[in-house]
Amino acid sequence: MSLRKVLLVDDEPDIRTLVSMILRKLGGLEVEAVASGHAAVACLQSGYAPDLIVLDVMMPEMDGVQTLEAIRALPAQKETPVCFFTAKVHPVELQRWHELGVSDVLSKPFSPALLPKQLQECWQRCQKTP
Amino acid sequence: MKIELPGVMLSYRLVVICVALTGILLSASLAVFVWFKQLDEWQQRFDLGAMRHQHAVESKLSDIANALDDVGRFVAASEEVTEAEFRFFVTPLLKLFYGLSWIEQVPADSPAVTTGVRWHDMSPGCHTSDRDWRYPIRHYVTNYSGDGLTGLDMRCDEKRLTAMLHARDSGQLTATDEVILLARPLPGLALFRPVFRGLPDKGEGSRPDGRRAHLRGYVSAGVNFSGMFGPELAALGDTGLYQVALSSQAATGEHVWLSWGGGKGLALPWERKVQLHFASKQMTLRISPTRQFWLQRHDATPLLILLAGLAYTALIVAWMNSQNKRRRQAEMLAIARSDDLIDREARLAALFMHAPIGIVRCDDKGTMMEVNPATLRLVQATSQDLRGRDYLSLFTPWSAAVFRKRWREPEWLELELQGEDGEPIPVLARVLTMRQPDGTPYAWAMLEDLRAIRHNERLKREFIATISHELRTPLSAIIGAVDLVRDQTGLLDAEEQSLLLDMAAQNARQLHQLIDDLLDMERLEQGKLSLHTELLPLLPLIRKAQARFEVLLADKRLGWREHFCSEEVTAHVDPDRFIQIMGNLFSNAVKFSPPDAAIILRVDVVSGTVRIAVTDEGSGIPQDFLPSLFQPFAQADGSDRRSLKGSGLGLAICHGLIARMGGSLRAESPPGQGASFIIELPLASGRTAEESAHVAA
Repeated sequence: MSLRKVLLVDDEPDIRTLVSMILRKLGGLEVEAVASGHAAVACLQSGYAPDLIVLDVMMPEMDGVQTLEAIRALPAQKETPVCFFTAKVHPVELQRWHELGVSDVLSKPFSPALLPKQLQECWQRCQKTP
Repeated sequence: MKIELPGVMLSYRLVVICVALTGILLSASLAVFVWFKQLDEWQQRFDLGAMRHQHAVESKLSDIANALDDVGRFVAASEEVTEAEFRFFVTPLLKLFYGLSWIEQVPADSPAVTTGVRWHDMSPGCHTSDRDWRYPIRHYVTNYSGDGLTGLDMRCDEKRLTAMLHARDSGQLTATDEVILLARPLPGLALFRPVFRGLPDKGEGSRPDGRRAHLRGYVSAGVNFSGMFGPELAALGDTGLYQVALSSQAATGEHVWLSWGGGKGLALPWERKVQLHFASKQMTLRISPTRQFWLQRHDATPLLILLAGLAYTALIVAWMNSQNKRRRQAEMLAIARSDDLIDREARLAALFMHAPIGIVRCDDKGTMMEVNPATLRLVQATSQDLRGRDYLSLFTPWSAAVFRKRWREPEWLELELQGEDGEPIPVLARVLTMRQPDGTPYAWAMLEDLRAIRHNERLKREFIATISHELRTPLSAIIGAVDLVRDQTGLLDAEEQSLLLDMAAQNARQLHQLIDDLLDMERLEQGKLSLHTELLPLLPLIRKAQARFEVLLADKRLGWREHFCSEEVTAHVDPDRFIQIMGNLFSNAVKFSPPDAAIILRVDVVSGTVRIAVTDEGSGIPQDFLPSLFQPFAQADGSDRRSLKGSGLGLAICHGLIARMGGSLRAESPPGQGASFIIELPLASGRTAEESAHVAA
């Protein structure tokens, strides 16, 4: 088993374009990119079942944490690994994020070559822990 | 300058004058007293000496008179006295005489009657005296002129003489010839003794007492007083230099002055007149000191006393002066010190009152005695609240514990005060221990409010966090896109590559803009942003700005709704900056407009002011956010929410720029009516560019 479907949530269109291209081209993954937390919830509720969710932290209206809480509230998404994607240098909320169930924190800028690998590893890790 | 005496305030000058006068008077009085005492003493001594003189003179005269008496009797007893006989007899007596003369009658037909000179000189010839004793014994008879007898008859009884003369005149006295008596005043005093012989019993003439006498002549002695009495007077010793004069009170009243001892015969106040009653004749012995002598009698003692007194008075006055001066100096020093103290007090008080740091004066137990206004502002209390309370009560419990342990350290401790509303106040605290002049310890406790610093630190941290985030986001796109293109060329087709490179370029430009915005913001805040204002019509500038957003508007299918006033609208603006501002407003409007909406653009002139309004039909701005809309990074308030996108500086820069151009920028967002941004600029009406710029600056 490997990672195949990813839900990307980021308000920056360029990031969405870029990361989608990277994951598709380099990771061979199926990527659904949405622009906001609301859209993410709507997408999940409409039946999209990703293996992994990548959440941008700084977004207007619903930030990463709020989106995470909303997602976790959905019955189907209690176990889905979630990675935070952030440009914050030293997030002081690292502890809090981990408590909330964030599996990994990806930083921006990122290396395109490594990104798919990072997501794979994250997903593998989450599979192992019961 | 006053001196206080019990009950009396005297001026210092007055006291000094009194002291000086008293001193002078006292010493003068003392000097005068001593002078007169000296005088008195001397007077006594003089009197004493004069008395001795008197005795000496009296005894001497007595001796001479007795000797004359003897000589007269000798002559009277002898029938004829030859010179040798006379001399023989008189020689032993000579030591008493200074001169002796024998006057005898001259026969009527004697030539001496007419010529007047005939005398018998009986010089002893046996003494050559270095004391100038001369013994000329003369007897001479010369013309008698006058009725009286000049000279002094010491032993001739006045009565007897009168009787004799009367007898002669009346014929009772028989003389061989008429006795022509001529006595010439000898230099000095002359003593006369008549010499009588008994008449032969011839029966002619009779005298009152029955005896018949025959006047033969006179024996006289001249007395040179000084020569005669010199030794005796000298032997008197302490009588010193005197003038001694002996005068007779003869009928003529003529006085004969003798001077002995030098000096001038001047009548001086201290003159002793000694009345000598000698042979029933009155003599006056006048003894007076020579002037020279007199002066010497007073020595310098009175003068010395006076000078000493004056000197002493002067010393006292000088001493008083120096005391006074010292006291004055001490007073002035005290005043200066007191002034200095007052001045220092005032300065300290001023410092205390106006210091920006809280200062508290505590006693040695830590009780607050004095609290300055800065402290009161810090803890939001009044001085009544704080005075008497323990200093530690201002702190939070843990701060108080740390303070108690470490207050003696010379560094500032970072502690927290108990805030009014439960929010602790971060402060720097320090204590300075002091001692009062009487040794009581007290302390100055100082508190520096750190809230502003902390707030600024927090803002800075947030700013940096925000900026780094804002930088990282486009950087991620650039790096990602470029890496992808560079490393995965095979996987991408031309279109995709082109897309990625465009993305990179676009993001790079965004970064550039961000950095420019940051610099603009910094310059605006420092007041160093320079504008090149010109008087320009605004409409063409607006059009230019609109043109830049054509594509974006088309993307969202937005349209312009324009309401322009009819007049030409001109103002003093920097054209590039004005376009930048308009672009910013348009950009926001586009971002927040829903698709298929319109952006409303309104330009009109209201009472000399140009109004440009850009309104979107979006969801608007929450009312509570409106006030901070134009703050830098207003949206990035530390949380992860942003209600607006962008660098966060755009509106702040626009606001600053419009202000520099002399106008204003505000936002309105009535609920349900989107957001309006309104620029107001003064309509240019002939003012020069400099004037406008001056107003704008």
